[in-house]
Amino acid sequence: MTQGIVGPGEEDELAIRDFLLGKTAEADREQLEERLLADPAFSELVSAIEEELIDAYTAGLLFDADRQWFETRFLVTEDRRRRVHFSEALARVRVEDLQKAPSGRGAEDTVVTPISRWSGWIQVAAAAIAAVSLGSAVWMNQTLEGALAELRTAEERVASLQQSREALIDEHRRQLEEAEARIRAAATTPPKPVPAPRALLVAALSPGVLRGTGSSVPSLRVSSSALLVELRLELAEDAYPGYAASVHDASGTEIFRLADLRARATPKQVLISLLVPASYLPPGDYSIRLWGRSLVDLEELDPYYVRIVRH
Amino acid sequence: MVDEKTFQPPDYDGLLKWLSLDHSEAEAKFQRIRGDLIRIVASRGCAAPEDLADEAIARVAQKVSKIAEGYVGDPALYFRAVVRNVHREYVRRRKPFSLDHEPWAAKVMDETAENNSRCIDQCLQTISEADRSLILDYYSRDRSDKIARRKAIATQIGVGLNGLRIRAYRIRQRLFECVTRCLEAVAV
Repeated sequence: MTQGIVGPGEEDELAIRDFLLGKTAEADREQLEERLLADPAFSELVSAIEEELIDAYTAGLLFDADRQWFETRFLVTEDRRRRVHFSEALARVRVEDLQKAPSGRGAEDTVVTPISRWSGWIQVAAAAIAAVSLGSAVWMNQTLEGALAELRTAEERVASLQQSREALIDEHRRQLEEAEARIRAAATTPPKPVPAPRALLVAALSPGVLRGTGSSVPSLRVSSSALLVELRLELAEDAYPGYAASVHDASGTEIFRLADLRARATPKQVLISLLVPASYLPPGDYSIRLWGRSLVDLEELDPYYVRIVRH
Repeated sequence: MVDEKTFQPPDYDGLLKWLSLDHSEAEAKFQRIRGDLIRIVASRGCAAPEDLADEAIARVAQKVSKIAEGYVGDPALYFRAVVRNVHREYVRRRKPFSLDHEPWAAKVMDETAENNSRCIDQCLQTISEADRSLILDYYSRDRSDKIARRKAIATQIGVGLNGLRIRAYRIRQRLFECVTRCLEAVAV
């Protein structure tokens, strides 16, 4: 039950968001980290705000700097990536679609057997218990009344405090929403919901497909609404504890590099996934260099090639 | 380089007992601590927070028999001290090659989006109508009066906004775990 949770203050929300987005000053970090580990209620609040941050990202509501951090520093665990997909799926569910579907039996549903169908001796026992309980209840009721009166007074005090704090938080949120609304209104795109980001998959790239050898370079069609592109590099085997990769344009200029990559084995193949902001890949040909990391060195493996086509 | 004479294998059973003598409680506490360690390391911009968190946990597990004897206070805070050291070592040993860009997440594409949608539809049918309505309303993108709507929900169920947030999160977490199991079944 979560009724009556006062717990960590709602003014913690901004501090928690800053923490999750890597913006906490070092001086404040120690206290927050200690609280995170020592206070389970605070830890749960951080988890809840983390989910809302993911929702803000998939709704396209993060400012540029925050979005960049989110893509490059936040989405570095498989768990968080799955939660992004989950957030997108949850957003796609339409309340009206579910209201039409038959509802499942929930945990609160119970099946109550009418008393008249109970067997005879159980009915007698139940009546005796009810009689004793009634007497006890009268005495307990008087004792409880006093306690309840005190509880009501305390609840009123808490409610009054909560209202003041909620009013302050509401004002901050209102200002934030107004700022976001101004930013959205200033955009040149039509006023419609911001589409959730989609990653486009390249048909898994095989190593060593060279231009001019008669083999065609795989093409990836990237739409203008795409924010992220995923490149999947097939491997014959997962021979290294880690990998590093760099992406180069047609002139050989390095566009970016990635490190600490891990291979992933599916039932059918071993592959490494690279997630790249679409803005880094204008139309053209690209090569991807891959290194396997051993304990002491990097060993270069066969390269991959891809052609980006925009539509 | 590992010194074979002094190397102690991690004692994860001992670690759990240090967290709690009740096994279920110990497991829950362990998962929470691990999740928080990952958050702490990730918030410092580390590319492999799970690896560093697990390294810190392994180090604590190696020494738990000595630590637990005289330790006073919340064990969770000990983990924090260890993960800070692990992170410092990580920053020092990172080669120049890996400093400039950390890996972006590998995100899956439309086929996984389709599976996610299918699984979430299934999983939403397994929770009560009240919970379903709460979670879809709370996390809805469609309402411009989101705060007013959440306040109304909170008032209706008799909690504050913070309590509503936690309740919605717990329902969402159950749903997420259901969807995860569903996706794993699809992948097999």
